[in-house]
Amino acid sequence: MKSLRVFDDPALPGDVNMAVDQALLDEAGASPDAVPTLRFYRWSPATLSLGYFQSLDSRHSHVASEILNVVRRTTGGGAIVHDRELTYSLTLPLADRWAAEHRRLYDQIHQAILTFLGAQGVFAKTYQAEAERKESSREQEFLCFLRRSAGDIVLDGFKVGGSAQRRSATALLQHGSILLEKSVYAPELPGIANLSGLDAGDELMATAITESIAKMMGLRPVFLGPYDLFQESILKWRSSRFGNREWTGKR
Amino acid sequence: MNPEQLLYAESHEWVHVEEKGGNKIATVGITAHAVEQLTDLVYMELPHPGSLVTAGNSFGEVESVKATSNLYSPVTGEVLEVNSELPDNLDRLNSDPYGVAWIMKVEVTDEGTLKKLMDHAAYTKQISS
Repeated sequence: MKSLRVFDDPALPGDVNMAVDQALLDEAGASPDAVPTLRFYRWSPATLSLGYFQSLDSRHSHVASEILNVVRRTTGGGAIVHDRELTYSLTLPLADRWAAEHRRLYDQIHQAILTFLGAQGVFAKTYQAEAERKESSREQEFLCFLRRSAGDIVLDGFKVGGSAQRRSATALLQHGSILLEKSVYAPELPGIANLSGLDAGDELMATAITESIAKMMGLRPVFLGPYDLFQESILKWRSSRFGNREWTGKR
Repeated sequence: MNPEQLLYAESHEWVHVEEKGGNKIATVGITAHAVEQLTDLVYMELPHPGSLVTAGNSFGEVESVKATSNLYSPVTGEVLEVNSELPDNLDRLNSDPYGVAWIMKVEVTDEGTLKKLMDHAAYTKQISS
């Protein structure tokens, strides 16, 4: 049985987190037979991430998060306040059958999150859009969690989970965020704990979701602990993109 | 344009080449298969005329409801013209990907890059395998 590499990182600065995901995308694209990788991570300090096509200036429309460091993601969609939430990334080569079924992959990962929440007595569901909105991410709400699109995870009408994909020439990255609890930097967004009282712990959640995803993809999870940050690729992506003010401000 | 008479890159761009004043001008677009894979496009970012593109490197980006993807140039050369109406009319990619939804015209400076492209039969085989 093929493996699923699993990394579980502590809270890291935003530019490091994005550089690791980019390095993992490169690793996935290095060979058609590359092993898929699932990574869970947190952020410290709390950080605002912009969707790839959002302008840097647009952050000033959201006063509560203006004090936060900002980073630009390579995935699209709206801005996310990474504070009381759990983030994941899944990277795999385009040659992998799940990359060809990228929409199903998206839905199945959200199903894994719903299954975990359901086992805790929290019955969230996926948002069913009557017709998909066809607006650029620049024309919608600034915050990702105030937007709705088919497949989003909603609880009592509030979005608590969402994902987006980035496709390179040879690999696919899926980013996702699970809103655990309201942040003082985005007080308009209640999290799972505020809506349900559930405080399951992000490690328990990460483990359960990993098992679900590995089973769904027919892979054997290999738990590798935190990602090795002392690699040249991390330094390269931090300096050229995610920690680079010019790149962050390019829109 | 007739898809059977076009050239194709592995990354799902099509190319139509014509001679003008001794230069080779490549009209570039993305295939119907690529449009189907990208699903529900909402935004497209194109290069500026005068910019240089390199075969195999990104020349633009597209956003769909759930995904962001690079567009890869199938040829090396200088961008002469872009279809500036296309980003505001992305539905044209669904209705006429090989015609009105062309993306850019490039003056080819490295003709060797054209030799690496596939014909229609080879591309059809690639997407069906």
